[in-house]
Amino acid sequence: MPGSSNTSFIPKHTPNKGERKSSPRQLFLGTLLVRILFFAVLIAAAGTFFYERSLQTDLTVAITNFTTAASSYNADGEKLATIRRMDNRLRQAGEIFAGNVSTVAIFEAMEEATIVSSQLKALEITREKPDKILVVANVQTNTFDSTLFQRSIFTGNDILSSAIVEDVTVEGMATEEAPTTDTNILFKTTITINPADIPNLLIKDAIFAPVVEETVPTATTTEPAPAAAEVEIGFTNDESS
Amino acid sequence: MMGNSLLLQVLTAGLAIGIVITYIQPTIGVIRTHQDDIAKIEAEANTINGTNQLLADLYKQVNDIAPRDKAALMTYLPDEVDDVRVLKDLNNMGEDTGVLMGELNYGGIEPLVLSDDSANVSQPDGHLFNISFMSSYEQFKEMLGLLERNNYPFLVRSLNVTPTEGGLLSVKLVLVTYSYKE
Repeated sequence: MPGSSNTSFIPKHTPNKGERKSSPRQLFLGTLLVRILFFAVLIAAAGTFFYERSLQTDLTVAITNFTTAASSYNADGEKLATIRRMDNRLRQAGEIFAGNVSTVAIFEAMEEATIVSSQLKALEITREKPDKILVVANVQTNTFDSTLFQRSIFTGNDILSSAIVEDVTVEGMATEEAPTTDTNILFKTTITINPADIPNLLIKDAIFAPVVEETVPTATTTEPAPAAAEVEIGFTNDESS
Repeated sequence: MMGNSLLLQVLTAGLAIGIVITYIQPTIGVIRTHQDDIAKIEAEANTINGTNQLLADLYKQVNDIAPRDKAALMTYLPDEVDDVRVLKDLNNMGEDTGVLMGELNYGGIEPLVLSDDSANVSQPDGHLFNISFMSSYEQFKEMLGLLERNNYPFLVRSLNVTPTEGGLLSVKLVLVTYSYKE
């Protein structure tokens, strides 16, 4: 029966035909992305977990260090008080020292600025403020020219430059009855001095004067004080000055 | 392993998003907070350590001051002024310079503001001493020199000089010296 073998509705097994291969598994892009996302999230979760734990440890260490430093600071309270006491005392002593003015220097300036024909009848020095010294001198001359010259010498002096001459009074004015009476001209000189303008003789002499062994017997002093005779201030009462 | 079913993909994605929302995001917030806290605490600790170091250095400086210098400072600005000792010192100076001492007395305490800068710390007390004497001009200057060179300060508060009939000067002085106690 020709072709009868092909008419059977039962499929024939062909021995030379290989086993049907199973189709390869299909992996879609979406599935891949989802898997990548999922594993990335898992890795990120693990990473954040361990990093957070690590930071927690670091925080504990930082707090411990802070507490140690703070307790060390608190334990040093007495040191701080000692430093503060010394600092305050040094600061106050420094201000007192800075405000100390050499009165000798003022007199030295007055000597240099007083002409021969002038006589100081009275002198008053008052420390009105830390930064203001008021010097009031009652001066007597015999002529108005001397008065004018005296004023110019005062105002030309570095320390006494603020000198103001006022209250000028003439005594012993010549009259018809006594034409030869000596005339005296009295005036008041008011000088305002800034202590910063006055040289500190103490510092100057401390630097340049030789060490003097002579001591002043002061009850509360512990160090030998140099003799005052080191300051040699000469009169320069010359009108040519 | 995972299958390819759509439901499984959706569930996986939902789980991942859930992990991000419920764990990763809050944990990142906690991490930021920890980082900020650590930075602040370390900065404060560094500040304190720096202060401690400075404190130690300053304390060493204070301790390194020679006892002689400390004594000189305490002489210059003592805790308290013994007015009798100061009067004795002034009298000694008068004897040394040969002036004819007149009045010599303690004028009491007056608080003194030295400058505006020192307004926040306690101020020294000023102790006034009144002294008057007769002297020559040279003796007067020598007396002033001794006052300036004393180991504790004598600031001239006021000074009045008047010549007398005998050629001497009549001098009236108000001096201030200081004590400082916190």
